[in-house]
Amino acid sequence: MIHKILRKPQAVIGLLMMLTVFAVMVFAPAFAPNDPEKINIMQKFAEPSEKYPLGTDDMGRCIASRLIYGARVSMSAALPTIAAIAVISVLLATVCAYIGGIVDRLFVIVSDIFMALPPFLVAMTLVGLFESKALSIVISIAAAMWVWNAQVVRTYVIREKNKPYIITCRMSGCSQMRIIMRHIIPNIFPHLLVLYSTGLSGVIIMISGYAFLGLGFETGTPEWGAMLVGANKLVFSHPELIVYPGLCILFAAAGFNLFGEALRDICDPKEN
Amino acid sequence: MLKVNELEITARSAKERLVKGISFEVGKGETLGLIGESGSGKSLTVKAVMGLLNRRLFAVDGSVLWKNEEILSKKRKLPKGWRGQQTAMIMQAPMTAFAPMMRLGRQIEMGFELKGRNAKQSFYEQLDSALKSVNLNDMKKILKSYPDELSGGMLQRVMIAVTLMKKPELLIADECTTAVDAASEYMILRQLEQQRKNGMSMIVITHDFGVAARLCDKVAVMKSGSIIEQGKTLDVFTSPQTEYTRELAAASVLFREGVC
Amino acid sequence: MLKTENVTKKYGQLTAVNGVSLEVADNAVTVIVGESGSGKSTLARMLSLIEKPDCGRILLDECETDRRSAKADRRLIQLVMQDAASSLDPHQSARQVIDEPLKLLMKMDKPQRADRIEELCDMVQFPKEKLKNKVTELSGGQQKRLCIARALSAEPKYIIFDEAFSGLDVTLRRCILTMLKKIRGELETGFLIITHDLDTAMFMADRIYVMRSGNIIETLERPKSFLDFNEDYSKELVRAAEYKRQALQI
Repeated sequence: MIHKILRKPQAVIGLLMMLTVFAVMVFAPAFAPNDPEKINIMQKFAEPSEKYPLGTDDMGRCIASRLIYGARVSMSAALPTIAAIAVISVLLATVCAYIGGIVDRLFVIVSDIFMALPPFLVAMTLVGLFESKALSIVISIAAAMWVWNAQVVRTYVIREKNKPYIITCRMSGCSQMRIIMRHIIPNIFPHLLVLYSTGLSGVIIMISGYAFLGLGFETGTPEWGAMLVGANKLVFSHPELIVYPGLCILFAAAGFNLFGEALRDICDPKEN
Repeated sequence: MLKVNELEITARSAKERLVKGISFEVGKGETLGLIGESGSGKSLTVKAVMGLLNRRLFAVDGSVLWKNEEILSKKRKLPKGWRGQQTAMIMQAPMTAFAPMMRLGRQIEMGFELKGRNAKQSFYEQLDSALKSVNLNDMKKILKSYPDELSGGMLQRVMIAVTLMKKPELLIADECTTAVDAASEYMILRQLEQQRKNGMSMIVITHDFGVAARLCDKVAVMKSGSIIEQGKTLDVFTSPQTEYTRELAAASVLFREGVC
Repeated sequence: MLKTENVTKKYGQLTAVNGVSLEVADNAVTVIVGESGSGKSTLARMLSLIEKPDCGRILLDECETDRRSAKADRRLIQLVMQDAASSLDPHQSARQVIDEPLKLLMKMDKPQRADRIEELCDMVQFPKEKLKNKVTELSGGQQKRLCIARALSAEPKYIIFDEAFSGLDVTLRRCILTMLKKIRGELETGFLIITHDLDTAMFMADRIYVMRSGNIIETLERPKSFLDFNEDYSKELVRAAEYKRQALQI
């Protein structure tokens, strides 16, 4: 598997982009030249210099530092969100699809109802529920997105459970639980990896989108989406303030997408 | 009629020689049996002859002469009507040989250029008798059904009937009875035997000596990419020169009366 | 004795199995012969307790099988399916395939299992150095042997082979069938072989059932020759089998 990934340029590029984002996220204090929240009104719109590598914004805050800390804020919201989506969708979909019958029918009906609601609407209704901004973002996006992923996982499970080897497993004395945990999930795991690694980029964009609408983090927080919205009134005088966070979002999303799609190509049985 | 000389096929990715310089000849009205286990290179050989191998994946060397014309060279195109009119091929898996989303009637019609009502009518009359010859009597129902509504044996019989309607000069049957049940196998073999009597040239690929003995004038036994024995069917079968051929012959019939 | 009494199974409009009563004897080979679509595979799935019949009963040693007893009965009846490649979990290694029933059905501990796996490999002539390979890396013959070893590992009373020998090369088929004959003699297991090939049937059988469109039309005890068949349909099957043999002049 690792060998195959290293041989595929698309996967390597995606992986490197992902690792860059993670590294920046973990070592943000070491990379950042200044305090991202320190306001220095005398220094606003400073040109790039040694002290401020990318200059400063309308409040005189170091843009480079804010982008670096932004990785931390965005990812620390996106990763738990995708984890929550993964746990909910895999758990529900595998159990319902494997048991089948009335349970599965019920699951399909409920998920159809959820799918009829636009995810943004669900998220907007839920986003004010909790005091902590980060928690409410995670929960509202997870509540809006789980159903789309669960439907996909359900299809994978159903396709897998109709294969003849499941009968062999039953003959070998496997319980229902063991078939799901030891046989079905390992076999659909590559597909799940792809689903959630591409899903992660979607979540990053969604979080930034909330901030842009004023629903996410406060405008002061160093977060990519919030920076975008903070800069929108300066689009003509200082367009670079919009371009920088936009590029960051693009970079992170593209990294996960590239890697996810390369993984899918590697795992596709047709190619082996 | 068909002369294959020192044919070599190499997989480009693995640099592995899959067919190692084999030569054989099929005369007019003659039937050649290519016998061997799966993985011995039988299918690759005939695919190369038919011009069906992807040249980017496989390197093909040697010469294939059809009526004294070289057909392997890259510059020249295959003769007109090479697949269909001059040669035809029946594949092993009938389920994958038909397009799954199209009714059989439309698929079959596509293979023939039918212009005008008269042509259509006479075509369907011919088709009806062709299907009847392989014991498929309900043409209307068959033409209306999708491939997955018929059994593998029935599909293979449809395949044979339609292929033979084109009256190819050389017919290649690639393991065409392996995936079908015994009764269908019987009907297919009988149909092929009939064609042989009518003077069609054939290459029959099989791992079953019984099939070869029934259909072939001469056989070539293949093992891991080379022909290890070649000759008249009866000679090869009654006095096999190699241990492998003996094994194959012995395995073809399991039950002998009075022995079990 | 594994027995069915008036077993019927319908799929929507289609009656796959229509009131079939048959017996799979202990320590003998029973064969069901029939064309594709005659309901043989459905019968195999019901006999291996994977599916329930719509009506009729399946009796194991004169006891009716039901949901409660299924777990204990599972060990006693094992199934080998047609396509070895798709009936093995592609992410498992060869060792895991045999290990699973030993652990779950036989409740053996680790060293016992290791010994037993070696034993089973010898029995079915599966190369031991391939045990750590993934099942997708094995050849067709090795996969088939692995399937048989898996079925044998549960020490069942009955093994059902559902078209398990069609589509194999003739040499391999002969090799595996002779091996099975030997194993069966040693283990005293009851075999039920389901096939469309009369040759295989005659080679193995103590008793042959001929099946057509969901019904058993003929039963033969210890057939010695193709002339033993009486029904018209069976004769048709015989004619198909004889056709190739005539040319071989045997």
